[in-house]
Amino acid sequence: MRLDISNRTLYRFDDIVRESQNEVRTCPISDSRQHLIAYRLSLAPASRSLAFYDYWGTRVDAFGIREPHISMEIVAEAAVETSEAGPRPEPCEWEGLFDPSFRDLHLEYLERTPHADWGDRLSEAGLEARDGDDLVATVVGIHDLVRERMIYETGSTHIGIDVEKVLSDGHGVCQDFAHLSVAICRSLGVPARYVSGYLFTASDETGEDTDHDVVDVETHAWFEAAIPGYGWMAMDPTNGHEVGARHVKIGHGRDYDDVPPLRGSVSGEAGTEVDTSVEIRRMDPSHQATVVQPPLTHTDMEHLGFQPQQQQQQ
Amino acid sequence: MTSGLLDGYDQGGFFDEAIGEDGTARSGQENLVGWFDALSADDLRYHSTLRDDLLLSRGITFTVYGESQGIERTWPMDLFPRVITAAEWTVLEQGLAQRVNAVNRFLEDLYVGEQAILEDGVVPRWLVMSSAGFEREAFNVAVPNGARCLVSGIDIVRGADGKFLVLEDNLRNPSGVSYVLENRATMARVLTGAFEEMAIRSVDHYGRSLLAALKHAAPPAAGDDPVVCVLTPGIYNSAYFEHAFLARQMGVELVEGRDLVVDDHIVAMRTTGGLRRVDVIYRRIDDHFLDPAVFDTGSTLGVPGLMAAVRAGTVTVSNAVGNGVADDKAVYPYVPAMIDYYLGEEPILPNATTYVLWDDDQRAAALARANELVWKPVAESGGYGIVIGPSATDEELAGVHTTVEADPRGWIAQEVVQLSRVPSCVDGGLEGRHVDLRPFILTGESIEVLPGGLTRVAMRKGSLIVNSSQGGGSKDTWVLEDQATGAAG
Amino acid sequence: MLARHAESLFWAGRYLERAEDTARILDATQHATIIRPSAAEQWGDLLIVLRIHEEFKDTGGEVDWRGVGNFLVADPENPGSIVSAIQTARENLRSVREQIPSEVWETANRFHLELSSRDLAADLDGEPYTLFDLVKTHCQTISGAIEQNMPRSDGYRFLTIGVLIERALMTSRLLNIRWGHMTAGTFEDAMLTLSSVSAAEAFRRRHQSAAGPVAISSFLLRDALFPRSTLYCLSRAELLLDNLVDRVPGRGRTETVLGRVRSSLEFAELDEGSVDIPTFCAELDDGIRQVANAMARQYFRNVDQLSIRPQATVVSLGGHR
Repeated sequence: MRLDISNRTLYRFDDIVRESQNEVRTCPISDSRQHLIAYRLSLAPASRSLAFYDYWGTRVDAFGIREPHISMEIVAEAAVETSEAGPRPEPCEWEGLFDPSFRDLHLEYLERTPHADWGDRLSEAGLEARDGDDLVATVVGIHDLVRERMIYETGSTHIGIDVEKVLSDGHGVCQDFAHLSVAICRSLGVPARYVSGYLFTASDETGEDTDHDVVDVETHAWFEAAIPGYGWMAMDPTNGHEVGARHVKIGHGRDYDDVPPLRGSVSGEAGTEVDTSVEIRRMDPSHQATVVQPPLTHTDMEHLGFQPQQQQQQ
Repeated sequence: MTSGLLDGYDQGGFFDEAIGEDGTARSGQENLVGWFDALSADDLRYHSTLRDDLLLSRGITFTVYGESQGIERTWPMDLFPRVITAAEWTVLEQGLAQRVNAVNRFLEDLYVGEQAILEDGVVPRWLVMSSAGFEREAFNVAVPNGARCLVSGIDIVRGADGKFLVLEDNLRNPSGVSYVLENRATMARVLTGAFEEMAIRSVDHYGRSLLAALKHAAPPAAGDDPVVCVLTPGIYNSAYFEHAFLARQMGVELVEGRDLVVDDHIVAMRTTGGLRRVDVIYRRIDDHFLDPAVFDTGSTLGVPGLMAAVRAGTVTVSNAVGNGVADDKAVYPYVPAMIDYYLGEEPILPNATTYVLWDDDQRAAALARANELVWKPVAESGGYGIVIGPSATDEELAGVHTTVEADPRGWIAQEVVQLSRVPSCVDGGLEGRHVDLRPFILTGESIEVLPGGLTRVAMRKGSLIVNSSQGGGSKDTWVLEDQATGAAG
Repeated sequence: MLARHAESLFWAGRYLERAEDTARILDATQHATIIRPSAAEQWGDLLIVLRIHEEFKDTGGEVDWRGVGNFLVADPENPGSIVSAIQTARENLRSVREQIPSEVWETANRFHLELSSRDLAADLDGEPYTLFDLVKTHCQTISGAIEQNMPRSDGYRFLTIGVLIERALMTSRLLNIRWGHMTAGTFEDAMLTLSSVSAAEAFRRRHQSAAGPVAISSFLLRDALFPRSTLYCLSRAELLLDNLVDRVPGRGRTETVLGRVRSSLEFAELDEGSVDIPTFCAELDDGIRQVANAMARQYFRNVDQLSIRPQATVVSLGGHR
């Protein structure tokens, strides 16, 4: 499925900011399920960004603004070709987790991290979700348990909340669902990672598809668990849908802190208002692919994979 | 020959650096020992006073944290120097260069290489991944010439058998070299007589060598005459004296984070004439304080945007970010294996006997004799957190049990090394006190070891704790010229 | 050179000079009250001219020799006291130790150690002039170390400009304090003013007979050869400023303001006795302080100094629009 994404973040300051230095992680990754066709980052005030891939394989754009400004706009546009997920893994014996080389390769996804630090409540939930000796069924069980226990509630939490509290409160948004699932997996010794991305949907809560070609959403989050002999199995506990063609992955990490859409520092004491909007356009295969042009002075264009000329010939 | 001040000097069963088992001066040190022996207690006091005046008026100080009154203290330097013969030095020099070379290769392998040493299982992958010093923000950040440990300080001790051992590596921001130079300058003025008796290798060129190494590490775009600066946390840092000293020795600017800005991924300093580009930063700030935009510490010591500039290759930061993984004390036991792996050589300087406590068998065996071992937290430096089994209270040992069982990865245990001793001035006389040695190694066009180093001495009788933050003192370290040993032998 | 270093050197210069001049002014004032006890009211005038009467009021001290003397010499809470000035000068020098010859640091450090080891209250009660003498001697030792050892780089220029600005200010302030007593008082009063800035002999050579207040004020404010005259200090500061190497080319605000203050002093009709000296001195005071402010903006803070905090995170993540 061809999806064009326009992710616009607007920072408004209540006083003049003289300098800010930032890192943006909004570029979809290319992997077995999706292919990045084009990516462009536009910044206002204009600034040149440095693109690199971080330790976790996520593309990062780093930039600084060193002129007085009272707002900062970041528009990240991407065109991605996605496909449905492959078949679910076959049942997998728990034993496989103890293979030393498997553990060694996944060590970082087994440890506690600030946003995925479990206590008794999560450990109990893990034991409850465990499905005998089958690892795959257990991961599905964790996904089901999180869906069962949690109610989706917009704006009900903020980043940094303890997952134990998330579970006891019983409500949250997608990153809470993802962190909670990750932490429960790890409590059982199953390597799991947090995924940051987008979802083309009429409703983040239900994840349902729509007849419309354009949706206004925000960034989304889900999780992946490592299955010996298979690889990473992705699950979306927020809405229970298969992670498929409507999911666009930006990147993954131990938790949110490894893949924040934006982080950085800003000078002074100005108060900040952040407004994010994500528009995803599902492209009809018969239509010409176009990326909406924003009215900005400075652009940083980068093509990955296909050249535009080749697309026109297809 | 000891008819004066050294009369009745007791080696106490330890290896003494100056006096041999037979009670006479070791080869090459006859003149020095003779000179001291001829002093009266009054002479010694006179020289001590001269030294104190000199150190005080020159403001040679160090800082101890956690003292309510006055954070600066005058640097403690004992008058009796520690001597290393040319033959001994050759071994040390080769062994240190070999070690630094291997560690640089290891860090390159981890951060910009194939992680071959992990793939091949020579160093456990999990050990690296769980190291607090493994800095993922430095991943894929190239360092010109791979000079990651541009300055290393490696702690060397000498046991009862007289063999040199490596006790630990300091590869992040090793400090102390300024005191090596200041000790020398002070000794040359206070102990002129003794000084002239010996042919001692100079340490004065350190600033030039450091500057050359830093310039060698400049990004290619910097041109023929790269701009170098020293980045300090500021005057309240315990090593500020050294930061200022090094900047002066090199004739470069000493900057604080607030003096630097990053504009379009280029680092510049704020000058009276506006912004001026910087090519190499010799930073004496810890990794996590370098860039508040990347490391969310809320600290203003660093420079926002610095990491992106380093990644862009417009500026070099030395020592490289992420070296902490190599001086993690739980990784230290693998350095001999690194030497074998990367260089195909036998380690010239062995490690001290060390137990890795994540290994169940070693941990059980070590804890069973907790009161005989030295216990060190893996990520600390400067002697903080160390528990010395033989002198620890029952309470402290119980604490070791608890903390080690809770975090076996976080600690190592080492056999107590009966540190060698050097005659030291105590109450108008000379008594043996335990010493270690921190030589300094530069990775520039080649690896260069400064002939000498910081000899730290535990001034308290019987104590093995040499850290200046823990009440230790220092000695000037005299590496003898080749002919000196020849002439004396 | 680094803007921060330039600023530290500038302030080190100002505080060193502040310490010395405070000692000189106190010495003169205290001496005057001894020879004529009726002059005791000038302790209050002194606080006003130094522009610290509000701060002094907050201490609750008596406006007499003991109260004011202690406030201006030993009070660590008063940033302008001799103890504080030397402490601040030392801290500034310490932060630029690598920029200055060791002798400069060492002499300043030694003075700081000497001051902190003394019982200043006892000094003030006993023989204060020995203390003032000690301050002057140490300050001159430091100046000597600067003059003898410091390369004539921009660092030297900023430090010396700091000294000159402070000296220009303090000489005009001294005149302001002493003016009332000079016009009403005796020949001794007049000579005391001169001798407190070591100007008596130079003045006598210049004016063998006429020693009136007008001649003295003119001498202190703008003698071309006397190195403590305000005009001499400002002219020399102007020259040093022009010779700065590391600066944005062209004439900046500092140069303009300084030129204006200097010429208004140079061409004022002081010799006719028609100018009200206290008013003139107060205006001069304002002008010189504007020069210092302009310097800070042009050379020390030409790039914004910023405080830094983390960028706000995207907290609305996960919601649906």
